[in-house]
Amino acid sequence: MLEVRNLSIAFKTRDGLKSAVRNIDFTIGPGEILGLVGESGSGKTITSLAVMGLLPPNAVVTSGEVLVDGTDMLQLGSGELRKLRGRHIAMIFQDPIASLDPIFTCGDQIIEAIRLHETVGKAQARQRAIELLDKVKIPDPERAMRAYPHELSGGQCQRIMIAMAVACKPHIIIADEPTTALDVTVQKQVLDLLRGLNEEVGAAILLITHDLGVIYEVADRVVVMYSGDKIEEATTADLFNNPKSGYAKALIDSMPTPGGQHDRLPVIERDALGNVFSVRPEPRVRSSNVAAAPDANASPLLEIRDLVKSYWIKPAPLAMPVEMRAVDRVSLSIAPRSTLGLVGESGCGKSTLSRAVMRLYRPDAGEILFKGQDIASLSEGEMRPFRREIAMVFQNPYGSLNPRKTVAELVEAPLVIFGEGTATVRRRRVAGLLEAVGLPATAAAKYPHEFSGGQRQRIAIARALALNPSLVICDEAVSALDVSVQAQVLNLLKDLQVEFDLTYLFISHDLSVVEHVSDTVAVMQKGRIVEYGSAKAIFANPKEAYTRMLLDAVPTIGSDRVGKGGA
Amino acid sequence: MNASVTGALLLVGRKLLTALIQLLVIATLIFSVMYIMPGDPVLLLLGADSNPSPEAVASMRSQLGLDQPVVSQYFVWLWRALRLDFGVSLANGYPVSRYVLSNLPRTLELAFAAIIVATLIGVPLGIAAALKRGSLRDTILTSVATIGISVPVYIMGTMLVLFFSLKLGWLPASGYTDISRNALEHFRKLALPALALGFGLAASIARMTRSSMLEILGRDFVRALRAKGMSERRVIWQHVLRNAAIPIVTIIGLQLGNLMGGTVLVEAMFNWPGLSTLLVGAVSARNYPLVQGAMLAIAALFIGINLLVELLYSLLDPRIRRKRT
Amino acid sequence: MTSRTLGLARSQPAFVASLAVLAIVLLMAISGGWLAPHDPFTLNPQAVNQGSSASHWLGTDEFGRDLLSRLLIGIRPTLIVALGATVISAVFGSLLGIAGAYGRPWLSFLIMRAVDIMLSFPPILLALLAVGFWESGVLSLTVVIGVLYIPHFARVAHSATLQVTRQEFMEAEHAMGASVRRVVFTAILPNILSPLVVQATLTVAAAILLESGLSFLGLGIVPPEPSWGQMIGTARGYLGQNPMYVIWPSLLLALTVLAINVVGDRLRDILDPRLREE
Repeated sequence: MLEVRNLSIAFKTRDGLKSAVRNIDFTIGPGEILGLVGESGSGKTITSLAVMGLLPPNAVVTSGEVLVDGTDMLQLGSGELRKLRGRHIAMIFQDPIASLDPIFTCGDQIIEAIRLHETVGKAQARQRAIELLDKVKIPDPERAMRAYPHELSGGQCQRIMIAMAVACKPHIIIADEPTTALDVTVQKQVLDLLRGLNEEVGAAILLITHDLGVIYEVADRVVVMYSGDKIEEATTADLFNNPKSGYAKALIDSMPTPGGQHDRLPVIERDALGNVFSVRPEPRVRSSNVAAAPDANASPLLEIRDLVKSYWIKPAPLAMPVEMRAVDRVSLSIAPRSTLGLVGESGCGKSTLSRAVMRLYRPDAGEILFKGQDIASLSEGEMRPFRREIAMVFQNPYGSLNPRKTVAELVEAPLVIFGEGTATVRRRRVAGLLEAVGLPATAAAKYPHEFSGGQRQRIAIARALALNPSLVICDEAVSALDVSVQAQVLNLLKDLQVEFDLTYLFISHDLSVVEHVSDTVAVMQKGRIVEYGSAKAIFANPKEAYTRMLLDAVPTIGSDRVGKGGA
Repeated sequence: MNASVTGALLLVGRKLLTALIQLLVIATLIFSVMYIMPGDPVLLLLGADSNPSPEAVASMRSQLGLDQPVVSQYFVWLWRALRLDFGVSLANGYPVSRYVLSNLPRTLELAFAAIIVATLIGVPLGIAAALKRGSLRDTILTSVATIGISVPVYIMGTMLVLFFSLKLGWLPASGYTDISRNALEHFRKLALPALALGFGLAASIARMTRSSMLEILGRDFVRALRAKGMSERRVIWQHVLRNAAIPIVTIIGLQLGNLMGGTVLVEAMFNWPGLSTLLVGAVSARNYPLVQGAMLAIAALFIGINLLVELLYSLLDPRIRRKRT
Repeated sequence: MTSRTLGLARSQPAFVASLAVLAIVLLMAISGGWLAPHDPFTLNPQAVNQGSSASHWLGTDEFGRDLLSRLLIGIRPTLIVALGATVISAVFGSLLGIAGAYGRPWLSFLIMRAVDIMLSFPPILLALLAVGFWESGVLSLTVVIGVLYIPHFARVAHSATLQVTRQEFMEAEHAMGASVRRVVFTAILPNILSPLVVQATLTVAAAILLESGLSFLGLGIVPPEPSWGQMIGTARGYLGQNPMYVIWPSLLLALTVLAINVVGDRLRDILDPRLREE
């Protein structure tokens, strides 16, 4: 079927060839779903592009073969390759909206895909396209046919991409992170759809993802990759029950899983020989002698009452603007030194809520009581003392640090803004903060772009702590990070909470992460809090249908693998 | 369907309104600039050398309405301008609108010819360079384009005259012949100014075409199209080019300012009797009504072409044509 | 050092050559009068419109003045006007552009609409109007051209600032309670510097073209003071008698603008963060 033998790929750089992928072997049988899993930089995407013959111009295959039904794709001319693409092998990409041509309707693009490989009339192709859209369960296929990609949601665009991929009944479908850009409930639908098509059409699927949960739920066999090497290949059951390689074991361990009650996550480490293993680090010893534990009975540090923030949008060009409540009468409270996890899908209003608390926006109505004082309608000047007390860690470790400043300047910025200390005092404080977040002292003189994503997030955390705040808002603070790095940052946040007496408002779309860090949890949907209570209670026994749906949708290791044949 | 039609009409309406407001502001600017400029138009009109009597000056002043308050002068002027009445030339008393109306089509023709020349040269060369990025062909084409944007129109024009008129004797060096009198001669005289004006524009269009092609070629959807098994030629012609057309049309629109600026120099050096020639002459002679009329006509022309480009732009791009509902 | 320069010359010949051209042009602007073999203003009715000869290397103009000498001093007014105008437009344009992107809504509306209207009018026409009625000279040309290019700078600064303000670190600054001045000078300005530098080189080139265009029309630098554009304009009347008269200043002017554009392109490549990341 598809057989990749001894494949090695390198990038052309100024200093010669730089190896990207080394000696990869795997095969996919008919109807099989093979998962290719690895963190960023593991070479999984470049491998899939090589299979399609779509490598970027600066990449070269240094050895190996890619056999599709016995023919080596790498030896084919562009014309023969073209006949195989789309007809024999189809591909689904990570960003569905960007993968569709923005200036053609979705219908035209599906019709085009059909007519590329089959000689059928326009009307007939159109009929087929509508049937395909029906098959991928798009509501109102006729409307979707007429729509431009920007008029549809990400999930709908991914369905269009899938419809196009299965249009000519390919033998193999390569899906490169097909659900990474989608919400968890949409992800579930798309995965169900892929699995259903796999059974119905009988196409083999090469599923590339960083998400072990997705692999667990969908794949039959798994290939694990790490920095360009194949680390392990096993059936899904074997991999999760009995991982052979240290890396695969570490990767599985470092994922926060619902129900897994551990205070700290194991992290991946490498010893001097390059062997990868996982360790569960001990909590850092608290320097002060007071043992502070979250106290649910103490008066809340932050209390939000009936908070409202609206946007006015025009539903149609001529219509009157209507109110869209991004935050709709939200009430929450956070006890000192505890963590409130705020969870919801994209567009539910969780970011707007966090920015309202931060007073980056002025809320339309309601109260934000911080240590008992309402800050909801304070002026920027009156807000100033509170800015020392509330700090924020943002989602994007690449965007939240000014690229033109050194780490020392970034971390001391809050001190400078509040005119705190002399240069020497600030320098000492910066050194102390860098140590606290686990960065070397030499980092101070460097610029953000010299650091990895996880390290940058540490810098952002150090900056947030500069003025000894009591409340830290983490807005998707670990979402952009790889699983193993995410584990390190989550551990760090827990350590710092104890060390600095911090209270966290932790916002995330990832239920597993929220369960891991939170004492209390609020579930947000369409601007409202639909469920609110202790983390244990909500995850063990969700009361609301929406919460249950969210929990069900999370691909989880150890759950039942529904609808999966014994292939 | 209905919603998209009203949406389109609304878009056109809004653009039209913006253009009108722009024109009004420019008209106001032109009026006020004239007002703060030194020199007394009445003295100019009567001829300062003839030493006119104060009575003659006063009667002329009231005849021109210059004794009225500025605001009422402004509204009278605006109202007349709306009806294409810009007053009379101070030089000979002919209505300014007659000059403007006879010269405007000539400038339009020159600009239009230059755009066509530039697009015909610039777009294909830009595509040719982008398709072979980094090759010798690309290097040569981009170098020529860089030279093209660096040579000012009047140097280009002079070199064209030196070569085609003086050395080869193929084309006339300057002048204008009405198309009704001798069509061949008309186009022979149009050739050099249009080439001179179009050359620099062709270079910037080529550069922009190349970079927008490269930008589109790097998008995700191009890879997705190749993954579908589409031939490279079809990917380029059916999808990449049509996407790249949007920024290309924009750059052509943005270059209009330079183009209109270029007509000033080109008309002057080729004795092309367009609006700019009219304007330069009027400025030197301090012929205020003529300056105002010519300026306003050039501004209107420019805003009008810009409006057309913007409408074309939104026609090409469904993301603008149909706002997300 | 030298080996690095050599390496640069080999990998970027056009860039290095352009830098050399600009160095020579700058040298001419500073010491052109001193280098001139003849007095650039001495008339010689016996030797008008001559070709090159031993005494007049590049020939003479319509009044018998030495062409080489006039070319050597002819760049100075152009360069002063271009650089002065660029400074004016860069300072005011950048501030207006930042205010237009970061200021209060009514202020940014006002600024950006004004910019749009200014941009919808070709600079040369407005310049023509201004210098046509006021006294023409280096100072007035500098101010007029400088003011005319303010909207171009404002547009660039505006869109660059908008891009910066969309980044999370701006939110981070606000969350820390940073003052407006701090945000503008430490967060915005350093991050929009690259497009501004590129725009500055473009503006120098455009200002040279505009000044020489006006001088070409006889509305710029006032004779007998020479400028290259003005010389081209005058020489056009003598194309038949002395074609080299028009070719020399044309060549120099085109070469100078070309060098600036090449340097500008290269700067854009160097400063573009997208290209630098990899």
